[in-house]
Amino acid sequence: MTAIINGILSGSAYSLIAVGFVMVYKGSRIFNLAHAEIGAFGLFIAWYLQQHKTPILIAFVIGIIVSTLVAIIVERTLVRRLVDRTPLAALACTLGVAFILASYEFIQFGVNIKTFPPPFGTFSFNVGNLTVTSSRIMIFVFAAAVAVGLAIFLKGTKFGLEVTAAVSDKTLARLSGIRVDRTRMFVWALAGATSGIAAMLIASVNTFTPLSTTLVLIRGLTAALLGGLTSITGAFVGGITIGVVEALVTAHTTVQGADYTAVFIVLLVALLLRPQGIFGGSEA
Amino acid sequence: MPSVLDLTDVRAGYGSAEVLHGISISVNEGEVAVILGANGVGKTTMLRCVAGLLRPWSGRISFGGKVVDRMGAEKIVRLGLGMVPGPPGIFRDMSVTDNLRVGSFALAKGKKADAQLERILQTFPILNQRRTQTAGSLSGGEQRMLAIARSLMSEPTLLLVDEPSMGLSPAMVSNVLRLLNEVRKESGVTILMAEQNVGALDIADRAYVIEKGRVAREDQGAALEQTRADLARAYLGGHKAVEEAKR
Amino acid sequence: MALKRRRAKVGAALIIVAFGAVLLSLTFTSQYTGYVLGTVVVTAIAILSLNLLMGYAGQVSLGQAAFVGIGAFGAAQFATWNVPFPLTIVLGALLAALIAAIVGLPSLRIRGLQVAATTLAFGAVAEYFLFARPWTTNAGQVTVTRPHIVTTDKAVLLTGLIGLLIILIIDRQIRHSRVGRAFFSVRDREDTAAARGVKVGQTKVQAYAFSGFYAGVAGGLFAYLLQTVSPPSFTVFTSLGYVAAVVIGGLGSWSGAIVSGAIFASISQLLSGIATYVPIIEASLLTLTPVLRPEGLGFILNRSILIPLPAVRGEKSDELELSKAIELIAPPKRALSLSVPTRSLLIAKDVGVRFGGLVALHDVSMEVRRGEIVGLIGPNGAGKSTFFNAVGGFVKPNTGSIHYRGKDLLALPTHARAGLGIARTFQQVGLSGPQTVWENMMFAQHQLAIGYGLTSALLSTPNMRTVEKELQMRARAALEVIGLTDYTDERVLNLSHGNQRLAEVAAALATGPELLMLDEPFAGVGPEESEQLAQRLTELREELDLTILVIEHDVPLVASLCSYIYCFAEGGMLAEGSPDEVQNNQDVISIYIGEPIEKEAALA
Repeated sequence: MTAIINGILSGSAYSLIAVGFVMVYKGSRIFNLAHAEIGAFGLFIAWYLQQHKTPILIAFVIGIIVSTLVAIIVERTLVRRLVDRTPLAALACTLGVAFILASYEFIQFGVNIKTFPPPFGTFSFNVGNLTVTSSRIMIFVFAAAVAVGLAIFLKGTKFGLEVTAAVSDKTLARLSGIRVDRTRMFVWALAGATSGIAAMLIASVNTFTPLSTTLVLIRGLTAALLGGLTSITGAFVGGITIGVVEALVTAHTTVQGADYTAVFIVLLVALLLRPQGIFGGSEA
Repeated sequence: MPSVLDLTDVRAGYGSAEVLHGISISVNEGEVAVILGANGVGKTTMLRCVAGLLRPWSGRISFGGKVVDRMGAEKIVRLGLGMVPGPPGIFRDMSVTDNLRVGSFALAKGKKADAQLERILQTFPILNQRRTQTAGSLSGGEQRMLAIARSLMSEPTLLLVDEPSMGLSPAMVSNVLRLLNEVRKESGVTILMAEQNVGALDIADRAYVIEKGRVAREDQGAALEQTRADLARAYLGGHKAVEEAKR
Repeated sequence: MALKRRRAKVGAALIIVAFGAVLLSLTFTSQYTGYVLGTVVVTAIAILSLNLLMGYAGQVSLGQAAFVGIGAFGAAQFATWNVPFPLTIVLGALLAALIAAIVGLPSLRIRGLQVAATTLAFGAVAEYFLFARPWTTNAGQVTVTRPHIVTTDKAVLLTGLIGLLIILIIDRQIRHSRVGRAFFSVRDREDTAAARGVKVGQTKVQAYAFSGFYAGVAGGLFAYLLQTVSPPSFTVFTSLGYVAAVVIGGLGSWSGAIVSGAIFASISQLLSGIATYVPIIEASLLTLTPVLRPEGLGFILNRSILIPLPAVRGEKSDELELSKAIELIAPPKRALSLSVPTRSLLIAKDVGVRFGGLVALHDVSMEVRRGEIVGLIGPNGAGKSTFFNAVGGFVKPNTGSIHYRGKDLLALPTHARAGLGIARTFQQVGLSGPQTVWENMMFAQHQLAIGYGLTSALLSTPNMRTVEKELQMRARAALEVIGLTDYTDERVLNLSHGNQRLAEVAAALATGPELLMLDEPFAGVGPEESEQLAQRLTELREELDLTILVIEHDVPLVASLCSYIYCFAEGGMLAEGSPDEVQNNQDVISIYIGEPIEKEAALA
């Protein structure tokens, strides 16, 4: 059904956010509420440049760089000091970061609706009575690639082992020669980059304002929770699931806000039945 | 024999509480040195200072001729120091093989990690059997073995061991101590061990008894027999214990 | 201590004066000021709701505006059904409390951070669905007609102030009763809360319900202030703004919550020129507070003379005589039942505990007799604490039985074992660090406070006051008996390690136990202090008719203190007997002294 395909495509955007979020959590035990906003910041800078005659591809690259830098700055100045604080403290702090970024975007770029051109051009084709643009396919492909890539990266490479070790037992990791702070910084940088790419790709498909990020974040968080918070694959599947649920609901009713409610109910039921998420191990 | 490790008048503590009140010890190449003392006297604190996990307030620590008291653990480990921390001392959610692989990160350049992995697994047959198992599912004794194996992966010249006997049965304790002795003989690694269990004296060349953050006595060679008896009295207090210890 | 008491009185007086001044000034100020102050009051109440949930109970809500909105829409709806004025607000608040309790249910099964996401999602649902009510025609707006008694903005403000006062009183009642103490225990030491008889799940839901009620009151007042209720007033951003305000004000500080909320609400209203920059300033404070000054504004306020500290009551008479104190906390003389051998209090038979493949305890049998001091020794990881956990209900044995005074302990859930006459201390000090010694002493007797319920707590009934008075007397008595009265108002985390251990023993004694189980009470305590503590324990055994079970490493110390010793090893009982027997037992000796090893022996 076209609704399902639609759902998979839009859900992959949520997967993208969720996967990056889970990566940060796995790599530093921080619930980063600013995850989506860091990417959005890169998006706004790129948008601004592009509005001022910068070629789209260059703006795209700069957007990625900006997001990565912001993530690194946040890690070095704040996250490092939060590692031994309560989870509530870290939560409040990252919320504050999201607020700062969003407020800045608000003041600097205004609240009206904006568009962002697809960085790699666009073409579209029809599947049944559904028109699919290449941009949306790109999001899906990118989300799948990131999910697969990260999963392999964390399990199979030396760096992935370093990350897992650093989070599992910081002292022991140090005794194995691992520079824990530097490892964490790389994880955040990677998350920042993927968030930036995600924001720009999503913006090429939907309109956006400084306020849109939060709604995207909510869905990304929901997806991450559904998947189990510590599973990259779970986050990917979670995002697709939410996308499909939303698409099915909107296909069957025009009641506004029904999609939010349906997703919330799915989340609530899933967590009450299986608190560790679909793919979560007992560790979560 | 040249000294591999020297601590000179080291003071250290946590927060405002000073735990080490000026410790000076020295360990020679190829020796097994044991730091003995009851709970809370500062043994672990001392090892943590040497390993670079805790910065001493004052004093000097030199390892292999280099001054290391201001260095972080990540760097010291790459100079050839290894540490087996207190239990569990392993990455619980990673497999046995992955645990060992992490140990190889500090291996000197040019050495092949895979070859080293195989070599270590040969030395520890039990771990070889369980190479794909999650470390957390191993028994207490096996976990201690894995912790020691992990630290040997980087071919250290000085190995710090924090209470190898903790939580183990007397039979297991003998195994572990025997293993450490063997490792020392085969590879010439110097061992500095913190222990409560007086049995560690059996493989020791030198012993320091710590009381309340200070070195109370230092013995080597034949004098260790007397140390054993004295400690037995301090630990248990029964007359038979002291007799036993004098064996 | 006397200085703090005086400051508390002055502080309270100042607050009353402030209230009076505001009321007086109302006659002179404009309607607009009344409106602005009205929004300030409403915001303050909303933030107090979050202060209770996050600050007192340690739970999370990133969608609090949803509950405010439910209170607002609820009150509006009830008004259209001709429900009389103040009742509309109360009913709206009750509705909000109910929904909040439901939304908070996941906190029973999932961890705090995840609940943050579910509450955030709920906030979005409320904003886009519940309030927008897309099945209605006018974009979800509801108009509210003010009743005759309250027609002007200033009149609504007055109602708001009354509402704020009532909420503050409720808040205070909660803080000084078993309800609040249960919240704090869940916030600080969820692991040991159940041991004191706290039903953790129920407490969490209660916290959400109260939080929802406060928020609903704020919403109802808001409805009357604005006279139209529409979805854009209760967005996800509003919720997040509340979180910022409560963190900046300091989690757990009601005064900080009010001040912080007042500042941000009034700034946005009054100084529209800089209104655009307020969010960034607020956000920066939100980001930096957890890193630099986690106590937020509360830190500054609690140091000042303006705000009262938690009051320590019951100290009218200055000194409590030691003998009187002992009388107060000695356990009641209870006859032993006929089915129980007259001397045995605790009997464990063949207890076994497995964690997956790991055998923590096997075939452990023990008998503790009245009036004895029994020691448990053995290497780390041998199972001593696991045994304590089995008795306390933190761990369920797979085999065997444990009976106390003939009663089958294993048939009772953890929180039900608290009232049996057993008290225990924990290996890591089991007190709540951020709370004072006094507050911990009061909480330790939680199980004894079941004499009054929620309504009694809120209304301060004579029954509640009698029970609280008794708890206070016992708390003072226990502190007197242990000798810690000088530290009554000190936060536990500021005490020396030795004093923390003493405080924990005092807390255990306050409940008037028969059997005192101490888990490494001498750990980290210097040798002289250890001797003193050991001496005191022996004396207390006489004075209070106690039976003591103690886990300890220092064998000579245990030998001098105890009349019977059990030695654990590898989860099993290695040896038992009098101190002399155990010290000279071959197996025990080899545990501590070790077997001789040949230096030249081949690797096994």
